Amino acid sequence: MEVFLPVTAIVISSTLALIFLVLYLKERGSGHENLHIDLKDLDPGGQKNYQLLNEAIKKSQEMLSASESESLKMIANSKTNIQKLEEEHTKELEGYIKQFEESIKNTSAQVSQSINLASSQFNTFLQQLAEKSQQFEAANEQATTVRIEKMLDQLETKLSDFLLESEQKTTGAIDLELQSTRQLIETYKQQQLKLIDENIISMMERTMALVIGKRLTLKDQLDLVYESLEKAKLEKFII
Amino acid sequence: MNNLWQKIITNTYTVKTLKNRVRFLRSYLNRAKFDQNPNKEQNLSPEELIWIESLAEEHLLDVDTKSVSPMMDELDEMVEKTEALTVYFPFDPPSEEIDTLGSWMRSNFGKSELIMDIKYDPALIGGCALVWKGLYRDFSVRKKIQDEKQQILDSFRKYAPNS
Repeated sequence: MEVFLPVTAIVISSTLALIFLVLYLKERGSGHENLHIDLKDLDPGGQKNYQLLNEAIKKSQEMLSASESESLKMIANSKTNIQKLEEEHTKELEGYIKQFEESIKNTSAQVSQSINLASSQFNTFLQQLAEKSQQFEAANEQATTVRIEKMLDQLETKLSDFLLESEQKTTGAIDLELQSTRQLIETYKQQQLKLIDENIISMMERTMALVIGKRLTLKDQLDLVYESLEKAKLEKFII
Repeated sequence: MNNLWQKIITNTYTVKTLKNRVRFLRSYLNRAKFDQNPNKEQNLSPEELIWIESLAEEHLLDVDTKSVSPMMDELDEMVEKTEALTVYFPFDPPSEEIDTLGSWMRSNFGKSELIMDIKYDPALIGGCALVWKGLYRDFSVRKKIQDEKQQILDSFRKYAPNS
């Protein structure tokens, strides 16, 4: 269809060009007709020229009429050609349309067939999938049951072990704690006793210093001093 | 000089007495040698005066005026150099007893110039504690109690209800 459009345009434009040419030449011919000169007024050269001009005009008029008839023929031919082309194009187009419709019909049939096939395959697949899913679910349920039973057994064993172990540990820890506490109490007791002993001695010393120290006579004091000095002498403290 | 020092140290047993006597001696010599009126009564106790006069009787103070000051300086130096035995008593001993104790120490410890530096410590209860060449040693009743602490505590424990 697209091929015919430029051809039609060329034909129309060429026809229009011919019409304009004919009209132009007519106008020019009418101008020459006004060129009517009396031969008597012309010299022999001029007369000859005039005759030649007239002959030329005649020839040109003949040519023009010939070209007119040719152009008319061409126009008629071009119209015929255009009509023929249009008919051919219409036929060709109809053929194409028919082919296209047939191909669409074929394609539609094929697509429909494919859809049907795919649908049936999909249904089959869904059935298989459902079956497999049921099988898997059953197997999974069984495996889960087995695993849970196993885990429960293990848990029971571990819990039992853990309880036994923690009992032992707790007993051990309590024993240790008890031992440590007893030791601590014993240490504290010893420290307190030591402190009490120190306090007893300190109290004794202070009491003696306050009571006996003042009650001692000078002679007693001097006796004690000489006793101390004797001891220093024995120990050779002063060398 | 040595005779004077020997005379002073022989019957002086404490650091305090020694320092006092040297000070009295300096005062006495200054007044006797440099005062315009040497016969004026001096501010000394009778015992001090007797002690100084005993030195004079032995011509130990026969020195000229120029020698007084160097002699006294030398005496001060000897006092400072004298090594003292620090003695802690739990009571205040009378001076005559101090002399007796000093004499006893000199003869028993073999130190003819031993000087005591007497200090008071009532916590000692009885006896004494000594410091010699920087070393402290307690010979008192307090030390005896500490040494026999365990025996004393054991004897106390006999009366404890849960012993």
